[in-house]
Amino acid sequence: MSNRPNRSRRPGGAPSSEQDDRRRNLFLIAGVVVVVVIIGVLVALGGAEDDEVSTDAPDFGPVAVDGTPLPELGDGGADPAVAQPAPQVEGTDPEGASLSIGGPGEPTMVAFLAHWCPHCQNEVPVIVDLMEEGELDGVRVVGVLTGTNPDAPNHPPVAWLEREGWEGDILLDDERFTAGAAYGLSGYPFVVYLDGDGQVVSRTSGGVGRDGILLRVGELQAAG
Amino acid sequence: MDASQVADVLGTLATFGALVVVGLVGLRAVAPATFRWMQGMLAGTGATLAGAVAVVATLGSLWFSEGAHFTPCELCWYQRIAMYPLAVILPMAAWRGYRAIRPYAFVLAGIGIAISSWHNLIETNPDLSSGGCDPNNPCTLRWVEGLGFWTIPRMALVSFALVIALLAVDRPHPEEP
Repeated sequence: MSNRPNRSRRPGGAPSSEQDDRRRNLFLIAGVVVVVVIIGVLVALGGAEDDEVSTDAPDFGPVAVDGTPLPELGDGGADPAVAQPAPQVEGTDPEGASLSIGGPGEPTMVAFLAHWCPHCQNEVPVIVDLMEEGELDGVRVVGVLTGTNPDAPNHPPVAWLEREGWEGDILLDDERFTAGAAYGLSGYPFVVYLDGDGQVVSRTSGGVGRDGILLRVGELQAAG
Repeated sequence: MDASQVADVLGTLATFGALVVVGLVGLRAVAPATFRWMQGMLAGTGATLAGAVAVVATLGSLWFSEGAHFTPCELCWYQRIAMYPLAVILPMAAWRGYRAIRPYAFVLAGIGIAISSWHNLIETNPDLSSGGCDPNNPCTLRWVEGLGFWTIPRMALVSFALVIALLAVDRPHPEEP
């Protein structure tokens, strides 16, 4: 006895008629699908002009790191980077002007942001609101645009921050994301709080919301 | 064509597919007589149509990764594991008239739709999965939005639902093997 399926179309009845019906229905459905595909192509070609966003701002900039890179931030436990000096990162802003983070200066909040990350897209308006409300007065706020991918959504990143009303400095990471790696980036958004001596007060990976930011900024202001 | 244009075409197909799924479920609920007429019309074509859906979904998935160079995330890979075999076994079953394929296809598509549902959920609400984005390749990243709505996980969800619906409608007659 064979286990092969019975390939006869229908027991009894009029198989050839049923096969004809089935074939006709399949052609009908295929015709409908072809019409849908044609409509889709027309829609795609019609909307193609709206997709490109023109901007002169570059995606990446040159980055030089001076100092020992911070260890990657783990999932739990004490952050080994706290009280360590952050490496000094020299780079450029979207206009090409020199910019640096790390080293002695004023207390600084360095936010590493990826344009395509929904958590960054949620966190940036929170930071912008805090800046506008004066909650971050006395703290230098720097957004480091990293993880940039021209194929990913919400590109270009500079246009995104401008759209959000970002008032802080902007530093462009390079194509190898050197600045992020130097600060031990483990996820987006990644925020590093540096005191006036350029030492790490705290680091956070992922969105922490308004209260989370205010908590770290309070620690930063207390540390000076 | 670039990725957004391909997404528009696939999004149009997904819109059509979603209407078919909703239409079939709706007909079964509110117009059983019309649903039976539809069943008669689709009799014997379930594996063919579901196979076509799986083939289009597979080709679309491969185009996004190999043509547009979008890196598939972890959940995308699990859905591929469910969808790609369907693109092979359903056309083969349709060709050979092997209707006993249905339970196997239901299981694969069922696994796929479960994973896809979760993927859609975290894509819409990223905080459900984690508080941040994996720098390497987060599943919450929306690579495309065809017609302003159809992300890749949404299209995958409709594909799995369509496979299940088309196979479910084409129920064999009691006397069939």
